[in-house]
Amino acid sequence: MRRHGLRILAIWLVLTIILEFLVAKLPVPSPTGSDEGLGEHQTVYMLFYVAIPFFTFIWAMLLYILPTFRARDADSGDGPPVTDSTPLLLLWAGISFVTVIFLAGWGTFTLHEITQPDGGKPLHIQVIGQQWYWTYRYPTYGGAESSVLVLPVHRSIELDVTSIDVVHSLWIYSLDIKEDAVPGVVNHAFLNATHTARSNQYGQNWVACNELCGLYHGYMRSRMRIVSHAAFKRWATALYHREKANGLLKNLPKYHGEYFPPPVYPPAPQDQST
Amino acid sequence: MAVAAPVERRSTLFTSNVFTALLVAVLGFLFIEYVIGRGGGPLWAFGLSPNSTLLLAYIVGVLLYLAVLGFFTYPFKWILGGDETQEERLYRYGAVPGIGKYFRLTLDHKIIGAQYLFTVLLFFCVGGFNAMLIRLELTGSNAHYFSPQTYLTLVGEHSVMMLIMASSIIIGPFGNYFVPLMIGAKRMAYPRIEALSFWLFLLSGLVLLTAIFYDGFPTGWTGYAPLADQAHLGMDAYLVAFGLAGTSMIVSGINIVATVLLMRAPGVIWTRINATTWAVVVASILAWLAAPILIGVLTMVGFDRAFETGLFVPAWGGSAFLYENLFWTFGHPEVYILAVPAFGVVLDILSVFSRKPLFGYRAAVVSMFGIGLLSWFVWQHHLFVSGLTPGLRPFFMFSTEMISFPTGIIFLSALGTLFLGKVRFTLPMLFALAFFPNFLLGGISGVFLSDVPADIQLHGSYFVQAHFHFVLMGGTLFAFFAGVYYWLPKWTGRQFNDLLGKIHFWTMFLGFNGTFITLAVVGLLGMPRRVPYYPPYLHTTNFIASVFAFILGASIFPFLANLVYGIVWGKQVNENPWQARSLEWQTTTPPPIENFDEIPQVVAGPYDYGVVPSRPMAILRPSQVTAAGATAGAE
Repeated sequence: MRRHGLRILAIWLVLTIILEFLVAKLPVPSPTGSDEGLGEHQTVYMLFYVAIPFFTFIWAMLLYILPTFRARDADSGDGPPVTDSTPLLLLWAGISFVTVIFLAGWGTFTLHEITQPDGGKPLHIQVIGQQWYWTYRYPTYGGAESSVLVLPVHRSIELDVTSIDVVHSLWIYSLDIKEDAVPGVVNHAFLNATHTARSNQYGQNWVACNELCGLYHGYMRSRMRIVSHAAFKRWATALYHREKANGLLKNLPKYHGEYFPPPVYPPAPQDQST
Repeated sequence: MAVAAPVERRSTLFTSNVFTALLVAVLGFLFIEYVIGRGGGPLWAFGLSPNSTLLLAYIVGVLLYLAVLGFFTYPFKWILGGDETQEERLYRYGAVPGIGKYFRLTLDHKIIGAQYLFTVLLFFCVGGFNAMLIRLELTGSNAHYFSPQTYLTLVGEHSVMMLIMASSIIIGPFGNYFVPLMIGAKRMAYPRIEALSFWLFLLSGLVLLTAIFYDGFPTGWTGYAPLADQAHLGMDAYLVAFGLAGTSMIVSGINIVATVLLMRAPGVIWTRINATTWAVVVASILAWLAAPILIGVLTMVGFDRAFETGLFVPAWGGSAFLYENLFWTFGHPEVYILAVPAFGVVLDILSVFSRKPLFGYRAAVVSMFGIGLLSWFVWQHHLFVSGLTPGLRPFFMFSTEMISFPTGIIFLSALGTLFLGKVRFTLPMLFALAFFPNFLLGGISGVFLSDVPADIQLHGSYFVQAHFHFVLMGGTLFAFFAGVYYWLPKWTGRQFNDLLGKIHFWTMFLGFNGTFITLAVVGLLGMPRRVPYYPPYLHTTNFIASVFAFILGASIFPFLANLVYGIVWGKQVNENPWQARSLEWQTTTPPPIENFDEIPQVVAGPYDYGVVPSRPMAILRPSQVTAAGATAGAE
């Protein structure tokens, strides 16, 4: 009994050390581009480190038990009638419980960290999902609209995400931002990009929809650019002046933090004769 | 019911069986939909929307199907003062020769179990074929074999078909066939209700397939509401199909819980019920309580679509969150309706082939109930990034992670059973052992998804898809195949081919792990679910996943060949080929019409392997034992 236990412990230790070493070299998930993503990635790696001892324990047990305790051909007898072991059950329950408390504690703490603005007054950008594209409005620039997400780097940003038809979900993979766009609801996501980036032809650094929203859900992607603060200011000012000059801003609904969608069906036409 | 006597049945012009029932149902459906409904018919003149006529046509079709099968014959006869003759009863309970009884309404739980098995396999093949087409579309980042609409329909058909199928995959064939045998009952508590659960199950899958005639449905299995409100007519097929499956789950749950509560043989005390029965009971309670929520929410969507009630349309004062909450309140217990029966089957098979008692039996059974209870308090982890009450996320994170606690106990129970045992590597044992690595990855990826900061990264990506396939396919499907190889020799009296079975196992195990480990990586690299297009940098990983998926798909062929072989030509075996102690193996093979010649007197637990001196599990003919002996045996 003790002999078996020591051997399993040895296999478990070897497997654990190898895998814990390998997981640090893991290429996934890809490096993050925002402060918030850092917390998420740390959590993913922490979960890998915590999960591996459990994973290797089950494998060590299987790798040891199956060859050791296989029935020999002539053996038609039964094993020993062991039914319970209260200390073992208590130990197992205790380890699970402590791990759960630790994970939940870590998660709660990190969640608190990443769902706060990074100090200072954040730059608001409204994100509007509809079938099947994204629109971004910049309230500090008169509510100007863009179909490309342009963000300043190293600046606290608050995304106000909403939808005007069905449920969408904003996913900026390279920044680790995910927030559902629910009609009639405004959701908030905070981010602080750490370096400049732009969408490329390989499909990296794109904004995608992450909730099935109908026919062209798979194609609901928009380009994005993360630029320096000065470049952002230039771009946004130019956008504002262009949309003001061509009369777009006048015709757009007035910017409002709570974006209420228009009625799904237009009101019945008025009787023209009166 | 007396001993079975073959009854000659006069052939009539109109025989009530599955084919005539479906024919009449389709005719009724077509009449409502196309003659008096759409295209200038009387219902059209009333101004009913196309949704309402289609829903009405489906409802009429369902009622006609049940009527032709004969569900209303006896109740009406009984209400009007009549009763069945003995001959009719024998006919109804399948006490007649021929295979016709497998194609009509029959009340014997063993025939219903067989009907379930083949229907489950049919649905599995259809759903699996859809999965192959999905993987075909995803072999290249811009490989367009299908239009986006066809692709989304494939996704929806695959997911709902598999969900309907997997809700009954163990409860249906093995729960119905073996629960009465395991607890020493002659029959189920409510045979008619039991039959109803099967026939609704069959119909739900077929109705789901009719969605392809109405442009499919774009929502996947979740059917999120503002999208469902604007979807094509095919959405109504989804609503009816899922509603029928939910009804089937409710009635089946009531029947199995009542059977285990009320119909146990003398001596079957709570601790002499085996793990499979307990697991099926837990899943049945969950099905019974959760499915009404599903039916309610589907009805609400139906009202939204047909009568413009606007319950889920924010512009009309509704709420998209309402749908998400109601759906996942059902949806999470549903996941355990699929997963928990697998625990029971795997634990039982491990115990038999390790030749050891189940380790920590009481802890394992209580853990199953614990999982069932916890499953009601975790649904919001599906909505972690939906913006719904962000302040409650830490609570749901904790409750979700708590599920790993009872699940861990079940792992401990399984490992403890193997430890010091005399492990026999039979076909069922291989599938039961594969449960460990598969479900382990499912459980660990589940912990990743339950931790909110990690979930923000992983939510709705292929990582989630890999996670629930590890749990449902790696757990439930492997347990199902273990069950088929373990229990079918009891139905047929024949053994499966070992070589074919091993080919099946290794192709399935390799294909399965290759597919879903790769897809978990695809998810970590940032691919959302349910997309026909993905960016080029994900091409290689997706291609590898598709190749493994085709290997996985091919693994069904050795199984089907083995199934035919095992039923028709397999080596004949005695009534207990595995030397198992559980009660279902003690009766003759195949079990007689009332399962046991006499109600057995159970005197020991199902797991007393290696106990010296060993006692038989049950006294199979208590009337032949003297009164004193029976009392001593029963203690």
